[in-house]
Amino acid sequence: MTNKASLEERIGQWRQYLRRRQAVHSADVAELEDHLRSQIGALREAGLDEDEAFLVAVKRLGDLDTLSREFAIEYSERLWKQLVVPSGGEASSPTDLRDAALAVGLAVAAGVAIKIPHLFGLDISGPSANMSFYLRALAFPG
Amino acid sequence: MNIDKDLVAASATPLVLAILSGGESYGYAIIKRVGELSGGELQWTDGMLYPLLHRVERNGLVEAFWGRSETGRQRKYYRLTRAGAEQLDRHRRQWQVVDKAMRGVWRLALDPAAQPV
Repeated sequence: MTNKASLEERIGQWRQYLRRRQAVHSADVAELEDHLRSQIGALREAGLDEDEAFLVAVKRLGDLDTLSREFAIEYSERLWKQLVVPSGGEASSPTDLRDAALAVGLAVAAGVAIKIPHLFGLDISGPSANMSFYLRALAFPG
Repeated sequence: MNIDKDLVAASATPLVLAILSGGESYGYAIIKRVGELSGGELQWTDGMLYPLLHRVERNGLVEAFWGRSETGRQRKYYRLTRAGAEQLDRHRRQWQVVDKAMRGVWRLALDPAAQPV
């Protein structure tokens, strides 16, 4: 079910989104894109794959920039809607669960600062972002 | 730790100017440095990075120029101007006044029996 769009395609979607909204100067978009790519690079170095790095980078940029936050919310909502929960009660694949967890995590994160994992003493903001927290927190109905 | 929004906002400009006084830099590196300096406790939200950088550029405290990243990508760099260095000095002196006042009373918060310095 995973979105097969390449990293470049996704960055392109993000860039198009920003350029179309209001009057964002292309220079500002270029500056934000450099920031996005730097963040992606750092997350990949920390061990995240392309999907994960893009999602987290978009979320973090969303904390700093209003238009990017709108993109982050829409993107995570779209991811969530793309998930098909089987009606026959079959188990979702691990990839489905991981993407769902990421989408839910981002939707929450994009709206408010994440405090829940901190209560459990987990680091979710550093390079060693503990994604498995969301996997454990996510419960699919049977 | 949740840091009061006013405190985060008040420290943002002095932090940016001070980081740039150590050499020219760019947005992502600046905010990464803020994270390192604050142990991740200072969480900047909208208005505190790029709007701030663009504002201090408009006010002549920094000047911006385009360069290239390691991968050859376009990157916007900022460097402190003379006016920026002077403003930074004003910030530093103001913070020192506040810091001195606070250091005199923190001990009261920890030990009510202590006398103010």
